[in-house]
Amino acid sequence: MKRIIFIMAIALVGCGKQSSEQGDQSLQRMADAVHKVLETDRAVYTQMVVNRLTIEDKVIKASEHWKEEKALVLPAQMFRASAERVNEQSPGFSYALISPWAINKKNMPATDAESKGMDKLKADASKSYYLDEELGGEKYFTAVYADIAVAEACVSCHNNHKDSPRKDFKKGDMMGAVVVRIKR
Amino acid sequence: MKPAYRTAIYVLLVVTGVSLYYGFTLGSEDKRAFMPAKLSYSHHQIELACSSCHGAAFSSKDEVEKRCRNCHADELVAMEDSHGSKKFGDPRNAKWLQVMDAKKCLSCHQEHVPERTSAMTLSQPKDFCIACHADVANDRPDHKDIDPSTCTNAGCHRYHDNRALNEDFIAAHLNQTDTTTGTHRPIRTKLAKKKLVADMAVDDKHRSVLGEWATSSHANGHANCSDCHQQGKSWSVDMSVCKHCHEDSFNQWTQGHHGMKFATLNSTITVKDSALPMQQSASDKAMNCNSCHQPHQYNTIKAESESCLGCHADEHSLAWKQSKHAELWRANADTGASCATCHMPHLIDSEKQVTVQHNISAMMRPQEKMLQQVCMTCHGYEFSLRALSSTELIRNNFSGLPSPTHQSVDWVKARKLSESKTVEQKK
Repeated sequence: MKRIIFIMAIALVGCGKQSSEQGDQSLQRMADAVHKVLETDRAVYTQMVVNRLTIEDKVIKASEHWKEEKALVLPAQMFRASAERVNEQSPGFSYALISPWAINKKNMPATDAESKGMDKLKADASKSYYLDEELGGEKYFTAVYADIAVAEACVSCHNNHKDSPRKDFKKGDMMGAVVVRIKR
Repeated sequence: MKPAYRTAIYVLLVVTGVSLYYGFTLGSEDKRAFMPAKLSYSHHQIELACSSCHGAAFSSKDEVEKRCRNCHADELVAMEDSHGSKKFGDPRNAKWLQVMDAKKCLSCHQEHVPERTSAMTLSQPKDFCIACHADVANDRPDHKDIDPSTCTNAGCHRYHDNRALNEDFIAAHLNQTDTTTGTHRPIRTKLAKKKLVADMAVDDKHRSVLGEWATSSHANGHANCSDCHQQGKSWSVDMSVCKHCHEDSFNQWTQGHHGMKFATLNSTITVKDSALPMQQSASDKAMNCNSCHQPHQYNTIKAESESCLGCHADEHSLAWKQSKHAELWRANADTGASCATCHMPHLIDSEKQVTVQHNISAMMRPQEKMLQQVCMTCHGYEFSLRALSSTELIRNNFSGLPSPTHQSVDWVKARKLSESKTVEQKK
């Protein structure tokens, strides 16, 4: 009898673990999908709108004061504006753009997971990293992806900004990370 | 009768009386007997409409929150709210929510607590910024000895609207002249159509009214007698008739203190209902379209100041007639400043038409709402900021000059100077 109970307990633990792993795989796929959309939209806007109109055709400038100066919204601002609208709707996931070289200090890594993810990306930016974290009493599946300078506009803007702590970026460099969080 | 029986009867009578009173009150429209304490100035007009904030009886705080947003969400979007869900819905800011739930209006704006409620229904202490920004001096050493109760009342920061109160904006507007020249506000274009001939007969008693109408904008092809009046019926006109053509203005009016009671309770506020100092002689005046606009003259000049001063008697209003703003306005309505120039400014809508803001509360609080949208229409940034930092100047309707400097501007100037020196040194 004891043996049967032991086998059943092992089976239950195994099932639970398998279920948890499947859950994590599902969350990872969702985070990857969200990131893929973000990354692609960001690259399209940066290359086809900002880079083309500001650097290639020189018909309009992009500025952080886009409203006052009637200029294009910077790619990072576009990203954050969209993230803020998502935050307002509380859909169970969120995303953020962080960097250890952020122009605005509030966008530097702010949680343990962000710091760990950023450190791992500095070692190998070709991979994405998945971590668990608890913030404000809620548990999150957190994914961290490298954010790469895809156009000359990214590099020139950061290298020339008065508040930028790093001014030697080159196209193709990792400039920060995209963090996707999914509520467990 | 035994004393014990007598006491029991007394208790029974009192309980029955109280029960009847509250039972009757619960069934009536006026439920103020259940109000725990008075409402703030912001909402006192709608104290009879419990459900406009609470929904059904005993609803949750979340339901109340929803109702805050029903009235205030658009305004928060327009002012690019510096706090709120867009920022604190992000889990990376979750730790700050444990200090104060910045996603909830009620965290800072509680009602029925008059003993700790200040302007804008703020129920937090004046130094509440420091709860989250205690380390501000790390990035801004010049803020080290700042009294935290002055963060939001010295013209430096606001909790919600910081569009014109940030370093970049200040830097972009340094060294502007105190006063700009020329026409300041957008000029309204009056669309004149074919002149109308009155289509209703009037008796001798109303002959002067007909003359007034003939010189009004209404007669310029916009509204004939029969558009507002019905032959053989009462000449009085309901506000719904005005709304038929002036819907945008009417809707704006219902969003402010002049029309919020009408929008909520379908009855207009009277002067004696106001919590502000008002003209005693106007006590029984009710607030409707005709309070400001004469029905036939449609005299916007009168509507811009005389109508306001017919009711309002606070120090700021009473001081206007002797102010520089008034003197300039009397010389030219588009370069001076009437009550309406500042508090009901001209706006340019999405179709490039110039309209008048009829939400009287949208531009009623100088320090909180009027710097960029109103003052900077005629004045330079620094001058405006200095003027708005003075409660005394606001009270006396800007009769006098503001202080020669403002701390925020001085700091930005110093930082700019320091940055330019650094650039020079690198060269």
